Amino acid sequence: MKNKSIYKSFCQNCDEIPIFSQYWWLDSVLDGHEWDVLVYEMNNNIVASMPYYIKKKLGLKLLIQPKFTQKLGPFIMSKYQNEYLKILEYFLDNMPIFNFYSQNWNSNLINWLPFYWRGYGQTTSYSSVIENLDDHNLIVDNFKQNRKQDFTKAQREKFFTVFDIDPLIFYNEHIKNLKIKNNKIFYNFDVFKKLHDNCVSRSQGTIAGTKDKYGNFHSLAFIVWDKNYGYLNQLTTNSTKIKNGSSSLLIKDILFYLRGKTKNFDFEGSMSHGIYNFYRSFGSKSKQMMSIKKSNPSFLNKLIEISGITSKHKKNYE
Amino acid sequence: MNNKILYDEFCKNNKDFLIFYQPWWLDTVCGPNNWDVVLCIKNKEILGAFPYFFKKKFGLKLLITPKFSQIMGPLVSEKIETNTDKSKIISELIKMLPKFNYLSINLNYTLNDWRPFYWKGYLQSTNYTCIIENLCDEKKIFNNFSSTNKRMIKKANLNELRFNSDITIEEFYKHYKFFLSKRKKVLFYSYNEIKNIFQNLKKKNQGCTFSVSDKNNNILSIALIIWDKKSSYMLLNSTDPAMKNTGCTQYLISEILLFLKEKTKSFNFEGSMNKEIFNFYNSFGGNISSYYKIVKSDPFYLRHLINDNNQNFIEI
Repeated sequence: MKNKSIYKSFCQNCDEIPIFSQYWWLDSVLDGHEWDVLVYEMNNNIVASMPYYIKKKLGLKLLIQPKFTQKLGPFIMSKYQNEYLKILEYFLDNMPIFNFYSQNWNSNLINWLPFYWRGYGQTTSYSSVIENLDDHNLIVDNFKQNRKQDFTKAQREKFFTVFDIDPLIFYNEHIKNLKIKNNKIFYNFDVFKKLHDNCVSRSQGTIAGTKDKYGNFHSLAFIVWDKNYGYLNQLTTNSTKIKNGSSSLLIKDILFYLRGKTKNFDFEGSMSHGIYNFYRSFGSKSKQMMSIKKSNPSFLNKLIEISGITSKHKKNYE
Repeated sequence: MNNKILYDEFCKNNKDFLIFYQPWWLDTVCGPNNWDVVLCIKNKEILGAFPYFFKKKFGLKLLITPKFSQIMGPLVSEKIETNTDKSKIISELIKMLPKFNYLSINLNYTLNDWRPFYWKGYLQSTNYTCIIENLCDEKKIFNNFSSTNKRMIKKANLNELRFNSDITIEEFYKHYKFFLSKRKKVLFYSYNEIKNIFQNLKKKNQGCTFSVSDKNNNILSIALIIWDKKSSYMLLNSTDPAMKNTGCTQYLISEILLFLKEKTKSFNFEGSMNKEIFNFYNSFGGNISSYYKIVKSDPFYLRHLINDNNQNFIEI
């Protein structure tokens, strides 16, 4: 708890910390559930931190990714990156006892060796990013032909994008669109609203949606941002109208909306081939991210994943 | 035309392909009948190749990185520029691989997108190696050594240790075996295997043996280094464990770096994930570079039964 109050002031003073590691983000998405943080100090100043969420289920202690949270894990201030071996060893020495650890790390961490030395496993996943949102001309030039055709289609249909949509509208549309594909919503409205309200009150999030001329939503997105990145946190499209260009128009308008608010845009991409191709068609580049896991005892790994009790951040793509 | 003949031509046309991919190297480390290659050809032009080493064990067909090779896997023509096109070619090559029960390879250092493998059910994990770039800048290289290494090199000079290049392969092998036995480690290579590699390296002028000895000519530390146009690699090295405090290993490496500056651009320690070895290599102040290890088995549980240091693979 002591660490948490120190961490709160660290978050307030260090604008490098990704939005997903901010104390208020974790308070919002975990809504009363237990989370804590390790901090690493040099000359009495915090230079690195590692927040973690502890989920207790079936007598097991799971350190996993909270909902809505693409990345977590260790954070090291950029000017102390060279100290990463020492810092990661410190975090490992001070981590609580757990049965299962599964995290996607912040992208600026590119070396997991100390975790390897302690028996963790790793793999590389990718996200799709568009850099330099200031350069509108370049962004438009980089759109592939099929996206440009989508914009023409959307224009013909007289689609338009609105921002600052009520979270309940987004939630209901999300449920409706998932139902068409026989899927169920995986998050609770109260948590979503709390997160949304906290992002909006800090001017770090909004809901955008593309409507037709009759006022019906075709595609909606919950976007959040910090100093460096905007994130496509949730995206929902009516799958019966997927080819009408609404989601392409929505993403284009979001990219323009974020100009001046942040520097780059992260689609929070998936490893799926189809989704990768869709995001790539906006001219995005791939960005690596490390996923780290360990289970204790080791055979728990498969059981935990099969049982589905690790409610990691996920997005449904329609 | 035979794929290997076409591959030979492909390597000649792409000047930057590393030594580990050269047909003569594959002939040497795999044996001419134990490797093959699949090719991606469009309009009579080779766009990519995937050489592979195959081995049969207990009735299983294994596609693995051969002994003495740090890396293997697909190669894309230097003419292909975009990552998307590279990715498409790699996907084509993966589809063409022969059936296997187990594949485990380290991919080329320049390959930083393993998704074509992921889409075909492979698993990946990131490994690291230490690389000293720009061997011409000897002043900067030595400045980047840790203070311990600098002290050890001074000590080696005070002890009048001597650096020798081109020691005979017999002498190299004898000491290599002896130093490993002192560490209670088993030697995985036969004399003939090492001799064969050494002879071929000499013919190509792409490798050399080195040693550091004391003033009584006792050899304390040895290394076998290979190189191509872009980089050099520490293929084998060992030090008498009783003599490691003389600074012989640090002295050997610092002299090797000087020797190599005329031959190539960088030096790759062919680093280990082992903590002690990694920390030692890292103390020479190079860059830490990552490369991907890829694994797949059929049936899937086979990879858990094969002891190949693959315990760190996880599923996404």
